[in-house]
Amino acid sequence: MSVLLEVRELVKHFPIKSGLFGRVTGYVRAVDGVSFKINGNTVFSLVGESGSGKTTTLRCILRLIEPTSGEILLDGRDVVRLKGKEVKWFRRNVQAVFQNPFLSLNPRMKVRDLIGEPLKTHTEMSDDEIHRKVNDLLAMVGLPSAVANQHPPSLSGGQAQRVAIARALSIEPRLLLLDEPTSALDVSVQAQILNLLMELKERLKLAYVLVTHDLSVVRYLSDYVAVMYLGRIVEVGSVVEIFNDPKHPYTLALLSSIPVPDPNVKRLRRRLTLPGEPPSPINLPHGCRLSSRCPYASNECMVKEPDLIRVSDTHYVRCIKVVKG
Amino acid sequence: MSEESLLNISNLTIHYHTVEGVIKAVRNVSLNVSRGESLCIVGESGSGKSTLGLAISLSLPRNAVVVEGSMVYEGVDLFKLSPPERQRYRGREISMIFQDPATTFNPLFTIGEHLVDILRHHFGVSMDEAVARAIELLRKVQLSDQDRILRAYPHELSGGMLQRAAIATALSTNPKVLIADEPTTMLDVTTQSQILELINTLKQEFGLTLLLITHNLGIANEICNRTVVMYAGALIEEGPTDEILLNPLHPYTAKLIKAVPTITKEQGRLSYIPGMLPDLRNPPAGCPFAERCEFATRYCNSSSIKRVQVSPGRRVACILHGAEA
Repeated sequence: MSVLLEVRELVKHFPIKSGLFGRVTGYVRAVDGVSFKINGNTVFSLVGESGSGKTTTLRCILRLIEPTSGEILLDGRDVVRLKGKEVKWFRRNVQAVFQNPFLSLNPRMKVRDLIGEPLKTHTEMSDDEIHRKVNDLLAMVGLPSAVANQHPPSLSGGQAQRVAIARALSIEPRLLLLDEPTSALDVSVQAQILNLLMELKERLKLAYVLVTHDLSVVRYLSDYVAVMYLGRIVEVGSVVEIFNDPKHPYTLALLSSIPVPDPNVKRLRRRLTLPGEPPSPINLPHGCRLSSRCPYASNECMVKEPDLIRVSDTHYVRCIKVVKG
Repeated sequence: MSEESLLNISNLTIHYHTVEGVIKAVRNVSLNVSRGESLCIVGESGSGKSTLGLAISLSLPRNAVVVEGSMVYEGVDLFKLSPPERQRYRGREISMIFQDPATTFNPLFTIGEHLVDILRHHFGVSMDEAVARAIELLRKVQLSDQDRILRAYPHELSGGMLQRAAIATALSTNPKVLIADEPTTMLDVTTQSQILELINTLKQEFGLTLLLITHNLGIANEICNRTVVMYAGALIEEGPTDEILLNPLHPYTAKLIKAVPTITKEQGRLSYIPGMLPDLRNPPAGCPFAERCEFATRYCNSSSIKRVQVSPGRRVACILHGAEA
C-alpha cells in the first residue's frame, strides 16, 4: 500500500514574548522533530500526556497552525505550501473530528445544514441530492433521520459526536484526524462511537490519525502507535509491539499507570512509577528528555539524546538501554 | 458484618430545583459505611454519585432539597445538626477533594494562606504553629520545597501538585472520612497513578475511611475493596469490588464492564448500552434500567425494585436475582 501522509522532521516552536515590546525571551519547543508515515486505510495513533506535542502535531497537519520547519506530505505534495484551490483539494481529502462536538458544531444551525455544508462548498450537488445524501449520512452514523431538523444543543453527547463524524465524512475524505474523539463521553457511549469509527474505517477504507491520552482507546482502534514525550516520538511500533513488548521506560510507565478493571490482572502487573513531573518544554534537559525522571538513567543518558533505534521493521525506540539490554 | 458502622444512610432522596423542573438526582439510596473501609461509588454522568458525595459532606448546593431519608454518623443524625455543628463536622469529621483542584483554592490567596487559615480556625493555634503544621502537611503529601509551595498561588502549580495541595488542605483538620470525587480525572495518567498511590498511603497513615467517587472501573479495582454501582439516581448493586468486576449481577453493571476497552487484550466489537439515561425529572417507577435492559420483563416497570441480599455483603436491585417487585 502506498504512503498517504508523511510527516518529516516537523518542528513547532512557540515564541514566549514578554515586556512592553513583546521581546522574544525563549521558545516553547512543543514539537521538536517528529517524523512518521501513514498508509491508506490504517490507524496511526499519537499518545502522550499534556505537553507532549501530540495535539500541536495534529494542528500542524490540519493547517491550523504553521510549523516552524519540516514537511507534511499528502500524496507526496507538501501541505504547508498549498495555496488557493490546492487547499480545497487538501480539505476534500483530510477532515477532522474534535473532542467536544458542542464546541465544534454551530449551535444555531440545524443538523441537516451542518452535515450539508461541506457538500455545498466542495461539490456541485443540487439541493435535492444534498438532502438525500444527508439522510444517507445520518443512517450511516446510526442516527434517525428526524435528528436532521434538530439543533446541536438538543442532542446528547454521543448523538452530537455522530453528527460531527457524519459532517467530516460527508465529502468522502481519505484521512480523518481524530482529536480525543471520545474523551468527553461516558463509557457506554464511548463504546458506541469507537465501534462506529472501526466500522466506518473498514467500510469506507479510511485512514485515521488519532490523538488521545487514553491508551485503551488506542489499543482498540490503532494499527500503529507513536508514544510522544516533550515534543519527540520516543517509541513507535505496531499496536502489538507497543502494548505487548514496550521498550522505552516512558512507554512502560504509561502502560503500567493505567488502572485496569480486572481483578486478576491487578496482581500480576509490574509497576513503574515515574517520579516527579515532566520538565518544562522551555528548558529541556540535556541528553534524553526522560533522563531527569527515568529510573534506569545513567550518565551517558544525560549527555546525548539518543536517535530512534531499530527494534524491528516497524518498531523503533529512542533509548540507549535497549541496545545494551 | 463484623466491621463497625460509621455512617448509615437510609432512603435518601435528593431533588434539585432548576428552571427546567425538579430533577430527582438521588432516589431512595441506603448505604452503610464501615469505619476504615475504602468504598467506591461508581457510575456514569447523571447517576447521582457526586450528589451523594456532596450530601454526605453536607455541602449540597442551595437548590438541592433532601426530600426524604436520614444520614446517621456515629449515632448522630446529620440533618439535625445546628449550623456550627455542621461546620465542625465538615472539617473535623469529613473532608472532600474534587475533580478540579484549581477550583478548590481561591486564586487570590497562596496555598499557605489557605492552609494556615484552616488550621487557625479549627485548632486556634498560633501563626508559627500553623505554618509549622502546614509545612508538615505538604511534606506528608510528598511535595518537596514546601517553603516555595506555601508562598505559591494556585496558578503557579501544576495540576498534580495542586491536587496534592488540595489533599493536604483536606487532611489539615485531621478528618476521619475523606470523600474524593473523581480526584484524578483531570490529571495525566502517570500523575494519576502517583495521586492514587498517595491517597492509598495517606489512608493507611491517617486511618481514614475513604469514599472514592469515580466513573473509572479500573480505579475502583485498584483502590477500593468494596464498590457500589449507581444508575440514574438509584443504588443498584453493592459488594466486594473483585466480585462485582468478575461476576456482576445487575445487567447494567455487566454491560458497563463490557463497554470498557482495555489495554490488556485485543478486542473485537465493544458491547455497548443501547438507549439513553431516563429523564430524571420523571424517572420510571420501576427499575431505572428497564427500558435499556435486554432481560426486562413486565414486572420490571411496575413498582420500585427493592435491593436484596444475594450473599453476605452482596446486594442487587434486579428481579433476575430475586429482588421483590
